[in-house]
Formats: sequence, structure tokens, C-alpha cells
Amino acid sequence: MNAIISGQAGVAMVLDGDEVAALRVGSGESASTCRLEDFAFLFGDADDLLFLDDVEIPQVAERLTHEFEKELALQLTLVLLDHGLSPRTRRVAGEELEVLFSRESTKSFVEGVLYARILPFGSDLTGAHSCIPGNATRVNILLQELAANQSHIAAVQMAWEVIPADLFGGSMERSQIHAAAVRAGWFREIVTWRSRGAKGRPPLASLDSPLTIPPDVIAAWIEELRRESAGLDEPEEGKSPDESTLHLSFVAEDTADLEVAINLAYKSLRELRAKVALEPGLALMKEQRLRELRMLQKLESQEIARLHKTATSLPRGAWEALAQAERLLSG
Amino acid sequence: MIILPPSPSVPRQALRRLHTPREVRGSKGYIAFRPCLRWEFGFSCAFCLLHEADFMTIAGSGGFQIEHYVPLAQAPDMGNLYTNAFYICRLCNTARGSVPELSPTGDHLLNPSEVAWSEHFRFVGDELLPLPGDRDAAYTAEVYDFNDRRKVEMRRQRRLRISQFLKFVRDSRRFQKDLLKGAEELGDRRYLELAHSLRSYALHAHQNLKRYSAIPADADTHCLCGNTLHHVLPAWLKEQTISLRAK
Repeated sequence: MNAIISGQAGVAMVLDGDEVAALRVGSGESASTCRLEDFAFLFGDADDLLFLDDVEIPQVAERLTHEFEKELALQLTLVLLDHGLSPRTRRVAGEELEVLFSRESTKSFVEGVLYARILPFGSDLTGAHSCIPGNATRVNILLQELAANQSHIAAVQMAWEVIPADLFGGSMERSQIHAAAVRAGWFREIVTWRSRGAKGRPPLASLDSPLTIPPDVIAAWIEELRRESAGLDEPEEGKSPDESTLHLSFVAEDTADLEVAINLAYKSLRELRAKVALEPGLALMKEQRLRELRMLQKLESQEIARLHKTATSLPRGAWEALAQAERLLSG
Repeated sequence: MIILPPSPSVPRQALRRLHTPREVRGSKGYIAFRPCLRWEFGFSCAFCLLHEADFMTIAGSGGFQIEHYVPLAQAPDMGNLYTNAFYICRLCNTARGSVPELSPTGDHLLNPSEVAWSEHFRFVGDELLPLPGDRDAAYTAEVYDFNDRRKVEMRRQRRLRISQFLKFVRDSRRFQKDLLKGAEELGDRRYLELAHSLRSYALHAHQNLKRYSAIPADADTHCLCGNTLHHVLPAWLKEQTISLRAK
């Protein structure tokens, strides 16, 4: 039999010859009969459909549970990062997340999504860190790495955005490829690759993904990152470049999360500034850090511009009314 | 009400302190200086000159902190010394961290209470740049990151938005008069309706301009020196403000 699964909808449709049945999360292996016409009703606007061939009900039930848990983990992570929710709610989300993360592929899925773009202005990484229980080690590590990687995430995101649209074949294809790349964890792999100095080729081939991405797109993406990363230092033996900044303890209490990344960049820049006085050869590295810092600031300044515009604006039609008055009076 | 200028100019004199707060104790005693410092520096960052209103997306004065010119890490005994404390935006504070005032290569961080910023810096567009060849100014601008893209964007937003709203208020006032006159002379209802619309839009623009008040709504009414006569804007800022007529 064949099956269509959606973790977002929490449902699977099983097709065995002319027979069609639906399997829901939590109902074990018991499927209920339905019709093909129920497809839209069952899946709604879910965009994570998985098509499985030649499977049996127990496999479908197992895969459905896993896909559902991945989506649940993502939602719980967003709850954990939401400063508008109570600490108690966020703590419960953190506890539940710790359990879900016992399956490594669930954690990888969440990382895959979170590593595709920098955290939005106002998301509360620092608060999330203080909400989770001390024994939630897996969640703790995820938050620490997320904070430490924000500058790399920003760089990878920006490098993606400058890939010419025609390499994708069109804007819709670009959007589809982006969504698939996020879910397959490509962004996470590229971020990790960059954080290790952007040497060699990123290990994309090792990802278990049905994704077909045009080779030109990958080449352009990597080329942009290589160009931008030129001057990144070699990591010291046995030490990743971000290891020294992998702790949230120094993060100011009132930071929004992009600021966490900015603070890390400042810290690194200050250290380099002190070293450059003694070792002028490090000037290039300092320039690189400054470029990264400017990139992060630029991302946040776009949000600042948007917020200023929202906070102070004239009603629609105001300028038109002024122009109309001018026309009327001059006529 | 007085509002900020669209584009500020740098102080032509060192920022003279008026407040003389009483002595404070404890490792965080300097926090009590905050009301004095807010007035002393005109609710503005003593270094990059951004105003609390530029941080309008952050409620109240949350975007501002207290800076120790000689860092606490270097001289803990100077933590509660008023003359060592400055009102500073959190972006400048984060940028500096606890970098000492003297660099390994002998460059000094400039102290806005000791030198006139105009002798070391100038605004070029929305950037606050050190004067050419001035190493101390260059070091100060670098350490506090005067041209952090976020700061540049805030300066740009202020310049564009205040200019735009002022223009709208000014033009709409002029047109309203002519439209009302036209309505009376020609008996044309369109003139009257348009005059009403413009008045309503001008009120919006006026409200927006009030967000750039030079003295914030939550300005402190009490401070540690107990002298409300010092609750005035510093001269460098006051001379640049724009008076906003009440509607």
C-alpha cells in the first residue's frame, strides 16, 4: 500500500488498491475508512506532505507519529522563545521539548528550520534560557548553539538571498526550493560548515533528502559564502571558532536575540582590536569581523525602520489630500 | 512643546554638569544618579547623541544605561563617582564593553564633559565621523561604534520623519486657510470637505511629531540633588529644538 503523511495535519491517508483509509495521530494503528475526496478536508493547507510507497500500516503509524512530533517540537520551540508567554508556559514547553529531543532527528528538524533565518526581532532567547529547567540539557545546547550561530545564520541567509532568481527557474521555484531546503536541513549544514571556516565543500550529499536543487544554485550559494568568508581564521586544533563564545552568561538581560549575535560579534571584535595592536597581521581578520557585525546590524536596522514606520505614519490618503488641495487651489 | 531637530548638530562646548547629587553607596549605588543624568545629558546618549525618542520602539528610557568612563572593572572605587557616570544608549554601552579609556597604542577615549564634540566630530549625512587625523576621535568613534548601522538608521528615521511631518503640518495649515476662504467665496463644498480632511491629517502629523518631544513624558520630576532648577535641557540641545504649536 501507499500512504500520504502530514505531521502538520497529524494525519495519514492510506491507499490500498481502491480502498482509502485515514490514520490519525494517537489512534495507534487503527485506520478509519474514508474517500479520496476527503483529501482537502484531512490535510487542509499542510505543506509537509510525504509520499510513501509500498508500506504497511505499522510503518505508516510510526512515521506519522514521528512527523507529528517534529512539528510539535517546532511549535514548542516557538512557545519557548515567545517573550509574551508566561515563564510557566515556557517552562512546560521546555520540559516537553527535552523529551521530544531524545530522538535526534526531531532536534535536527527543529534546528533545520531555526537555522534557515536569524531569529526575528523580539524573540527572547535569553528568557528562554532562563525558563528551561537545569536538567533540560538537549534544549540548553540547542539554545546556546542557536545564539552562537546567529551571525553565521545571517550570512548564510543573505548569501541565499543574493542568488540570482533565474538560477531557480522562477520565483515560485525559488520559494519551493527554499522550503524544501529548510526542511531537509540544508541551511543547518551550511551554517555548520561556515562556522568551521567554510573550507572544502559543505556535506550536503550526506543528507537524506529527496530534494533536487539545481547545481548552479548550490554553486552560487557556496561561492557567495566563500567570497564573503575570505579571511576567516582557521579554527585552532580541537576547538571550534565559536567555542569561546558559546555561553549565554554574558548576554545582557534585555537583549533581543539578534542582539545576542551582535554582542558576540562585538566581543570578538574587541578581543581582536586588542590583539591587532600587538599583531598587525590580524587586521584582515578584524575587518572580516567588522563586516559580519555590520551585516547583523543592517538586518536589525531593517526591523528598526519598519517599527519606526509603524509607530509614526500618516493615514493613507494624507499626502494625496495635500496634493489635491494644491491642485484645487492652483486651478 | 519642543521637539528634537530632524538632524542634530554636535555640541560646540564640553557638556558642563549642573547636577550635584549627594553621595551614594553600595556596588550599584550609581543607579540613583539616573534622573540627574537624564536631565544632565538631555535624555540623549552623551557619546553618539541619539535621544531616547530615537529608541521609540523600546518603552520609556529602557534603551539607555549608565556608563562609567573609567570602567568599573578597572576602577571599582570610581563606580559611585558622579563625574565618572554618563547617560549612554545601550548600543554604545554594548559596543564599548569595558574597554579601557587608554588604548594599547596610546589613543584616548574622549570625555564629553571635558572636550567639545565639535572639535573632534562632525555629522556627515547620518553618520557621526571623527575629524581627519584625529586619532583620539577615531578611537572613540570606533570603540562606541558611532556608526553602528542601527544608529545610522535611527538618525535617518528621525531626519526623514520629522522633516516629513513638519512639512505636512506647515503645508496643510497654509492650504486649510485658502480652502476655507475658497469655500466661502465660491460656495464650493469640496473646498470645505478637503479643509476638514487636511485638518484631521494634520492632527495625525502633529501627534506623530509629539513622539519626538525633546523632554519625554516620563521625565523625572525628582532627582538626587533635589534641585528642580536643573531640570532643563542642556544648552546644546535646547538651542536646536523646534517649538511645536499647540493645536
